[in-house]
Amino acid sequence: MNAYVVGQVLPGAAVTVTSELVDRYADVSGDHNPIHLDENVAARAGLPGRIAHGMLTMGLLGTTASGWAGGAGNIVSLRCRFSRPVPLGEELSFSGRVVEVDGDRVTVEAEVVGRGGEPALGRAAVVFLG
Amino acid sequence: MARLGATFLWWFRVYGWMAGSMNSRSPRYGPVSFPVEAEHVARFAGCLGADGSAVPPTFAAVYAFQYTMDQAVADRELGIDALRMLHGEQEFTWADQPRIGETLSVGVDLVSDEMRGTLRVITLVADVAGADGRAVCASRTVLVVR
Repeated sequence: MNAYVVGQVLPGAAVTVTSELVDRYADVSGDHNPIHLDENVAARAGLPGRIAHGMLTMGLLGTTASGWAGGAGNIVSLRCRFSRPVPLGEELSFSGRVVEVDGDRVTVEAEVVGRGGEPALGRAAVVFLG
Repeated sequence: MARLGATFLWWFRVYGWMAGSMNSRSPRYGPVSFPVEAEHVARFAGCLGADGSAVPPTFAAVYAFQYTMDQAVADRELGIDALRMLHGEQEFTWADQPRIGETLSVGVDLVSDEMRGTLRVITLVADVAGADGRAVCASRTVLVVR
C-alpha cells in the first residue's frame, strides 16, 4: 500500500526559463538547434524569439516527478505534448493531481503553466511506483 | 537429383527465414552504443535541479531522444528541414533505469510519416537496452514539420 489517494494534489516548484538555463541545457543535452540559441534564427523560423527546448520543460517536470516518486528510479513512464513554444524569461509552475492508484502504481496528471496561467505542456502524465 | 533439389529448397527456406528475421530485428537507425558516464549524468541532473547520484528520468533525452532526432534530421530520405521542425509529443516508458557506468544499446524505427492538414507528423520509437540486454526504455517521439 502507498500513501497516495485519488484526487490528491501534489505540489511542485516554479522555475524561470532563463537564457543561461537554455544555454546550459543545450550543452548537457547536446541539442544545439539554433531556434533555442540564436535570436535571429528563431525569428526567421517564425518564432517569437529563442524558445526553451521542449525536453528542458519535460526534464524539469521529471525532476518534480522524481520528488513525488521518492526517487528517479521509481518512475515508470512520463509523457506530454508540447502545446506551445516557451519563450525565454517565462516562469513555469509545476503541480500534479493523482488520478489513479492501482496497487503500488500511481498515475498523476501533471500541470505545467506559464505566463497568464497558460499551459506549456498538454496531456502530461507521470506513472510511478509509490 | 530430387534429393539435391529438396536439400536446396530447405536451405533456401532456412536462409530466407534467417534473412527475413534479421531484417525485422534491424532498426532503421543503429543500434548504437551509448555509455552512461557519471560526469555527464551529474551535469545533466545539475541543470535540471535534480540529485546527480541517480540517473534523472529524462536523461533519456540524451540517450534516446537526441539520437532519434539527429538521425531523423540527417535522413535524406525523410528530408526534414530542422528549422521548420518542432517537437510535438514525447513519451518514455522505463522497464528499468540505466545504471551509471553501463553502455546502453539504442535502436530507432520510423513508425509513421503522414500529413495532418498542412503539418507533417513523423512518429519514431527508440528501443533502449542495458549492457546485460535487459529492457531499459521505450521512447516515442512525435516530430511536427510546419
